[in-house]
Amino acid sequence: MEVLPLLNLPTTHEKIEQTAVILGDLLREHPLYQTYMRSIMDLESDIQVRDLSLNIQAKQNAFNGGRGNAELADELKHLNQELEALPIIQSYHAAETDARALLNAVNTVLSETLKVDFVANAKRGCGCGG
Amino acid sequence: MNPNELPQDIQDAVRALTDALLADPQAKPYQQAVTALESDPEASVLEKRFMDLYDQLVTRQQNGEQLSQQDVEPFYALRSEYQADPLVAARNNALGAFKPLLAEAGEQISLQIGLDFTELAKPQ
Repeated sequence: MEVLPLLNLPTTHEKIEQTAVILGDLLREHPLYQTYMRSIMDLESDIQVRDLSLNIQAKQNAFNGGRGNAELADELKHLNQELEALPIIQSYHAAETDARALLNAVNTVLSETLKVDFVANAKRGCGCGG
Repeated sequence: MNPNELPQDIQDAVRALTDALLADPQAKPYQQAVTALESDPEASVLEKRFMDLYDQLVTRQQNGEQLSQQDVEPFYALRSEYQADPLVAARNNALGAFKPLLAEAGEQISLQIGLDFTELAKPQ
């Protein structure tokens, strides 16, 4: 008599992995998330942002390295304001806010169903309470 | 965004993930401990009082208020009472065994979206 192979059903761990992958795929494809990822790429390739960021970093390093004074603090403040005023930065912040709202809504549903704050308890080695 | 505004396919995927998590044998002790806590009026009222007070203090701090010793002492007293409650302690212990599954799910989502889901999805 032929022995039938055991059904290769997914284990519960595999099922968790599969369903989490599906959810992650759907989130990645969501227009709000796509806009956010595009805004990150736009920032990374923008020369003005790069130059301003490098300038801020250099002045910040000087400030932290013991060369801080009121003039340098003022320069840093103005450079940061200049950076934040760029339309590309404002678009990035708006896209980030929208993407965070999408992901936070997902976390809310996960947390309500599981009766625990999902993201607060989903970190490896997290010693946080319930 | 209101969770009800999530697209249907995402709502379905969230449900599939929570079903998979709760079906795991590691989730059973946690679910039993949650049920025991929720069905005990004293313990569930204690938990609500503790969470409400915690939220109040955090909101005040976020609004720039400097909390005094008088403000925080009732919180510490309530926290001791809360942590000593056997049903709360049992639920928190059981949660410890459930957390690796939550981490596994969170890591898979993060891998797919290319960024840390647990950071981005935090309440702002």
